[in-house]
Parts: sequence; structure tokens; C-alpha cells
Amino acid sequence: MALVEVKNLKKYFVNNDGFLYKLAKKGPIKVKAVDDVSFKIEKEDTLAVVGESGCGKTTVARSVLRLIEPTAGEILYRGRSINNFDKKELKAFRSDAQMILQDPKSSLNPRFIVEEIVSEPLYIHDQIADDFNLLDRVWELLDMVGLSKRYSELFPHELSGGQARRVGIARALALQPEFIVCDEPTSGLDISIMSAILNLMKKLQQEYQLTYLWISHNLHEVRYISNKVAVMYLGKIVEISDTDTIFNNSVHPYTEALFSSLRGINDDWNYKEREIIQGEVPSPINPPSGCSFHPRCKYSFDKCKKIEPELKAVEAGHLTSCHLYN
Amino acid sequence: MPDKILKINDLAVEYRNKGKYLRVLQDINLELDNGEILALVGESGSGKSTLGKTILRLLPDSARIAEGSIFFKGKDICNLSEKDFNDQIRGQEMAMVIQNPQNALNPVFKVGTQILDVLYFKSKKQKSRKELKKEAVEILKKVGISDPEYRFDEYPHQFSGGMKQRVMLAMAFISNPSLLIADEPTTALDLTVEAQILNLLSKLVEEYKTSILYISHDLGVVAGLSDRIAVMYAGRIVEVAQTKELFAEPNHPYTEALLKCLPDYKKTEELLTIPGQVPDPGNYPVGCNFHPRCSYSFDRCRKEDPVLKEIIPNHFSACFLNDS
Repeated sequence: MALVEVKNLKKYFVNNDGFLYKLAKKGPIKVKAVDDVSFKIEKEDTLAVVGESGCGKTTVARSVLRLIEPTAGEILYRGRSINNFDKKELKAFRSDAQMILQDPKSSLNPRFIVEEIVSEPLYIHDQIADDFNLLDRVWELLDMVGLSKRYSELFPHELSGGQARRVGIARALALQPEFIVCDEPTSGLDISIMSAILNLMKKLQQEYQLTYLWISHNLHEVRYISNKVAVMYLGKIVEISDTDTIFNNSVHPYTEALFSSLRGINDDWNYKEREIIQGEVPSPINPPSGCSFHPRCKYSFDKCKKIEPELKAVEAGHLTSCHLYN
Repeated sequence: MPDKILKINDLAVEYRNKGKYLRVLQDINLELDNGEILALVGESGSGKSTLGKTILRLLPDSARIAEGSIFFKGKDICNLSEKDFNDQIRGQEMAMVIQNPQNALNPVFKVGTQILDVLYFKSKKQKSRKELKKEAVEILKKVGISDPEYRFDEYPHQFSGGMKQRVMLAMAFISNPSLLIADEPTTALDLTVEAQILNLLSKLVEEYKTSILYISHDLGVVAGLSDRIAVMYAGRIVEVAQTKELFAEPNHPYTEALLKCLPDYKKTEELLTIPGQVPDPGNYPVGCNFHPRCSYSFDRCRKEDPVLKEIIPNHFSACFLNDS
């Protein structure tokens, strides 16, 4: 049984309460942030969700933890639907599933010292025997993420970006979760700090059998950290498979376009001569008909403009939504 | 005309902090050929943006040039008065594209108006804005903005990030500058849009024969764009080499470590981690700034400052390992 299973998740944001909209009698604006997304995460796997800004990857991450209520669809955790959890069950779920937020510094309370930040989850979930044990536990957690004891007395503004990120990770680990949603944990960090954080996350995963849902737009990092990748475009998964397949044998035209824009240090082409996909991601308020990628796709034909492709298997474990393969 | 467009000699820049001056740039020596793209890479706090701003004299009042000189087209621009610099150099001969396109355009003026302003001053206030409109639309079209006549009358918030950066590039190239300083112009952009902008930039450079100082922390991007790369660490340039050579045979231990740290989609081996942290400006260690984190460091590194030396033709490195 998969640890996390998302079935036909939909999240539409509706905006119709503005005074001017009512005055102009315009219909509600519906943004299909996530539109019919399904995937499974097995225990101890890392599923990376990649895509450009506005494709709905953060919305997926938040829905999986029920931080926002989905419009439709079901999220199963250990086979049980989290949508129907009552307050008590939800609290238990929250200690099993944690999140590492995007901005390392602004996700820490500026008026708490590190000790308070890291121990707050323990207070909330009543996992404290006495205060002596508490400080030991905090030190232990800081040690796990590579910070010495003295950091427990510092305020967030005294930390560097990399240290703040480590504190964020220590807080997520406090309740011994088995599933962590990581929302761009390395964005804004320098190269040398980024590699340290990636290595730390890998080490923690092996040591504590963690499962990650990894949101990122950095494909280099995704290659390193994940073993499964889902590529999203305008609220839909266009291709999902294991990491090696996505990086070596991807089939969807969008994945292809994404990789042809990706310049690694070992590649041998320059931007002047490179053929690059034109256009930008359309607005999710008014997505194109049929396949939402067809206006930018060089292979598009009649069917793409009219019929929306379904996510289907091209081989075992490798799914794509493209008419070329169905 | 001398073939070096920009020549920086022994430049040092200091910031005033609590009555004391802190050195943030030290011993900067750099040359830029005509029509060359030189990339300046380094981690945050290494001083790469400060160097870009120093060249364009955009530093705040609390900063000063402590030593050294900057020659632009053979002329020392450090001694020019502010007025002369503004009239002759800034915006005419040198232009800049900044990191965040969202903040670079004035939100209360139409995009077209802002382009017209640049054209109007370029014509030395001789032509009226009406006469210039055709030219402005032409420029928008050139940088790949579809439906430019309609877009001309729109406001910046109606433009996407990529389109704003296209407009910024258009405005920078209007005066046909000899040197463009691009300070991480694509960091806020998505992967495919970034590639589009860099493709446009390379084409503009070829057409206008502009030299570029491209400031970035993304080594992959820089590898696909630049002719040469200068690596900065803690306020100093530690290595300068041709792009391909730098990646194939890095000389300085910092460059070598940086390349081993960098996740790359073609790399499967373990990532290296550099121990320690980048030192704070003004709190640099004695000797080589990198020695506390360097795995090769020896006695001399803790005592003396290494200087940038040519180790093989056109490959400069500041490391004592090359002396022994």
C-alpha cells in the first residue's frame, strides 16, 4: 500500500466577492490551480513535483497536508482518506506528516529563540515529560541537522540562510514524522549551502526512513534527491515516472522543452544558437482548449486543440498525457 | 580605439560601518575585451554586485573607492565629475539591467512612455515624443513582444516577468552602449523564459557589438552564455579563465570545490560540501580568504595574501599552490 495516494485532486480558487466584480455583473473568476491530479508515493520514496511558476505544485503540496481544502478528489494516507478526518485524527496526522516551508527565514517566528521554535511542536502535541528532557531533545534535534548546542539560544535574525533552513528541518523532525512535504527547501541558498542541505536531507531520509514530497523548480537538484518525478503544466501532471526515465527517456513535448532550456555545466551548447520554446505559460484563468500545452507545442495537430489528453501509461510506471502516445 | 573596453586596476572598495571602513572588495584586476561576455560568478556576499555597481558609480554614499582605478575605453572614469559621468557614460556608453524586473519599471507610467523617455533623452531632447513613437514600437517588436502597438499603451503590471525583462533589455540597448552590466537578469524567471531572454541577449550582443559583464550565481547559465568567467570569493577575484577551460580544468581550490558542490542533472555522484561558511565582509581571515575552508591549505596561506597570477596563458588564479 502506498503511503500517500492522491486521487483526482482538484483545487479551484474562485474570486467573485469583489465589489467591482459584482457591480460589473461579471461571473466568478475561476482559477483551476490543480485540475485532476493523481499520484502515489511509496514509503521511503521521494517524489519530486517540478514545473514553472503557476503550474500548481505548491497547491498540490498544501492540499496533501490538508492545509487547504481541495475542491474535489481524495487524499489517502496509509489507505485512509484524510478529507474525513475529525479533529483528533487530523492532529495525529499532523504529527506524522510535516512540512518544510519555502523561505528559510520568514518561516521562523522572529520573536522565538531556536529552542522555542524547535520545541513548539512538542508542546502542541503534548510530547514533553519535563523541561530537562525538553532541552536534551532540542539539542538532539539540532545535532541531527548539524547545528551545535549554542544555536538553541539564538534568534532567527542571528542565523544565516543555511542555518535557518537547518532549524526549519529540525522543527519538522521534532515529532518524528514519516512523511515530509518540502516546498523548495533550497531556493535562495548558495551553491555550497544547497549541497549541504541536499546531503543532509538524503542522510535523514536513510536514517529515519522518511518519505518526501519534494516541490522544486531546480531540475539539477531533483535529479540528485528524487527517485520519482512528476512534471506539471497548468495544473495538470503531463508526465510522471521514475527519475532516470524522466531525465533520459522523457516523452512529453513539454518535458522535452523544459530539458532543452536546462543548461548544465557539462552540456555543450550556447544560448545564441539554441532553439528555445517560444511563448509563456498561459493564464490558468483562461487555459487553452484541448491540451493546455498545444499553443506552444511543435508537434500539435488538430486533435490537440479539441480533446484533452488523458494521463496514460506508455510503459509500466511511466505515464504521460499526450495524444502522440495514446 | 584600445581593444580593452574596460580595465580595472587594483580596485578596493570600502563601506563605512559604525565609523569604520570595511573592505568589501580587494585587489580587483579585470579586463574586458570588445564584444566579450565576461561572467562574474560567486556566492552571495562575494562582492560581485558591488563590483558591478562600482563600475557604474551606483554605490551608496557610505561606500568609497579606497584604491585603484577603472579605465573605460582608455579613460580613467574614477576622476570624472558626477555630471560628466552622467552626461557621457551612464546610460549612454554603459547601461545596466538589474535583477528584479518587477521593481525596475515605474508602475504608474505606461511601458511605452518609459521607453519614449529613454529615446527622448537619447535624441538630446530634440525630437518630440510623438515623432519617436514609431521607433519605440519598433524596439518593442525587436525584443520579441507580440502585438507591440497594443502593448505600448499597457502598464508594467499587465506584463509578465519575462516581458518586463525584455523591455528592460530594450531600454538598455536603445543608446547602443559599449558595455552592459547585467546583474542576475534572469534569476526571477522560469526556466524556459530564462532561456528565451538569454537567447535574445546573445543575439542583441552580436548585433550591437556590446561587451557584457554578466553577474550570476548560476554556473550552468554562465557556461552557455559567456566567453570568459571570473570567480569571486569574499571580495576577491580568485580565478579568471576561458569558460570551457574553467569547467574542464579549474585551478583554484574554491572553484574546484564549487563545481563539486553543484548539483547537475548529468551528474550522479555524491555532492561535496564545503565546510564552514563564507566570511562576513570586513571580517575576512588573515592570509588567503579561502584558507579556513580549503582542504589544501598550508602555512603560507594563513600568513600572506595570494595575488592573481597568470598560470597558463589567459588563465589566472590566486593560489599559492601554483608557486610550489
